[in-house]
Amino acid sequence: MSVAMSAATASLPTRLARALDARWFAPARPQPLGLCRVLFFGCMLLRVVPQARSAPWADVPDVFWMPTDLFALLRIGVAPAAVLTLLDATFAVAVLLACVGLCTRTACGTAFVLGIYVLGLPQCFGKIDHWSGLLVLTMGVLALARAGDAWSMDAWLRRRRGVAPPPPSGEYRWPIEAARLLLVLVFFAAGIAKLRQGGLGWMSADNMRAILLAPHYANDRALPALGLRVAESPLACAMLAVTTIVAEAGAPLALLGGWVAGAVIGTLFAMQLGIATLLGVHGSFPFLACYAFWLPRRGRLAPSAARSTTRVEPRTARVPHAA
Amino acid sequence: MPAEPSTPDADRRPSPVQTTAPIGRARRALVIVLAALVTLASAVDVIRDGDHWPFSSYSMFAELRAPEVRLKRVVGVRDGREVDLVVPVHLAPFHEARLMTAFRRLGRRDDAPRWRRAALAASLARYDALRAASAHDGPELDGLRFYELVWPLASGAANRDAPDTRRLIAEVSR
Repeated sequence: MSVAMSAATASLPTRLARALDARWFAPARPQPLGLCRVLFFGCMLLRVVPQARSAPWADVPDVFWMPTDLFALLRIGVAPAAVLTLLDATFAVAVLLACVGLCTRTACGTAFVLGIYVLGLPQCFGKIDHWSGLLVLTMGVLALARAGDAWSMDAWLRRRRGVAPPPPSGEYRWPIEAARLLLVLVFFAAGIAKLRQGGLGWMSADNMRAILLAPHYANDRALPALGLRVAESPLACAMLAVTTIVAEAGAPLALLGGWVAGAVIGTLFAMQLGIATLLGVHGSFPFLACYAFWLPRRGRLAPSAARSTTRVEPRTARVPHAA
Repeated sequence: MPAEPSTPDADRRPSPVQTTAPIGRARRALVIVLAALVTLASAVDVIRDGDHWPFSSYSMFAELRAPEVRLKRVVGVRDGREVDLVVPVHLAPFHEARLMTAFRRLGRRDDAPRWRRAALAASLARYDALRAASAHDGPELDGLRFYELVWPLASGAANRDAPDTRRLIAEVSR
């Protein structure tokens, strides 16, 4: 039976499994994942680490202690200020090492474990800042991945020792796909929540106008007047509202790749930029780090799944030595 | 950090036969199971509108807005006059939304008035501690008040300094 006939007669679960396999585990070169790691932890270093100051939480009175389920389950409390300062410093070093790729596996793992505490602790005092969970989960993906095989000091040191560069592998593809899945899940959830709580009325111009105006009544932020001007245009408000729902609820389509992914993720990126600047929410834009996994990957950086699979030799072929 | 590949030798070498390093079944299964668990955990929060950090239903901005703005705010009291407080400055490490959400959650508990007063007293202690540490230059306060403020939405938020309603919810003094 030919391959084409075999594919045509395969059951739906089998075809889905094959599609998942090709999407997540087809051999890829290590460079794209390495670059994603650099960009992700680089953004963390610039946008998140400077804000991760845990020590002041040690002095906050107990009445405000409202642990998240994870902290309650693990019976994690607030450490003394000196310990928190040490944890912050260790977290910063781990993120730095993960960014430059020195002892990458250990650094990524340490950043993930400490990130659970350092980024999770403030969430135990009333409000949960939603960006923190996504960053922790993405660090978890990188902790499991072989993200230091390229674009890293580790790889450079290995090359200097004459060790052969690693061959293409699915190990370099699934972490990118997993990080993409995480971002898509976040936006999909946000879109569903809006439709469920606000219904179709959420997309009305009046609702978006109220969203744009409300932060200007707060006294803890300075916002540009642009939001006020946009709020005065019913057409602009309606377009923003509809675009938000379509992009968020349609976020899973981005997993299909191609121009659809570009359109959806580009829209979501612009939307978040708008939220940060016009509403003053998450003004430091910590989510930025997660967009690293959506950068277009072309040419030598990122052979497509199809090209990778057609070019490679059977696994018995000998890896040529780099020296 | 050096980009890859970087050495001139690497460019002179004949193009090598490319091989692949396949992923083992166990490793592949681990990845799929973890991805499925994360997706499932997210789905549970979406369905139940839950917030189980690091998972969430991400319901920020989800509710339909009324044509009014309703905010809770903590203000200081000194010599009988009210003093505006900026939460991230005077009550750090809280930011406005975190502190107000904490008050809202305490307000849902049994004996809410007692919890709110306790939180206000704790906020006053925090204010004093930061002032003593020169973390802010606010005045010495006699007490704190916790208000709900309501404004009708106005073009350009022009009425932001004059709320229609100011409802005192709780108060503490020394």
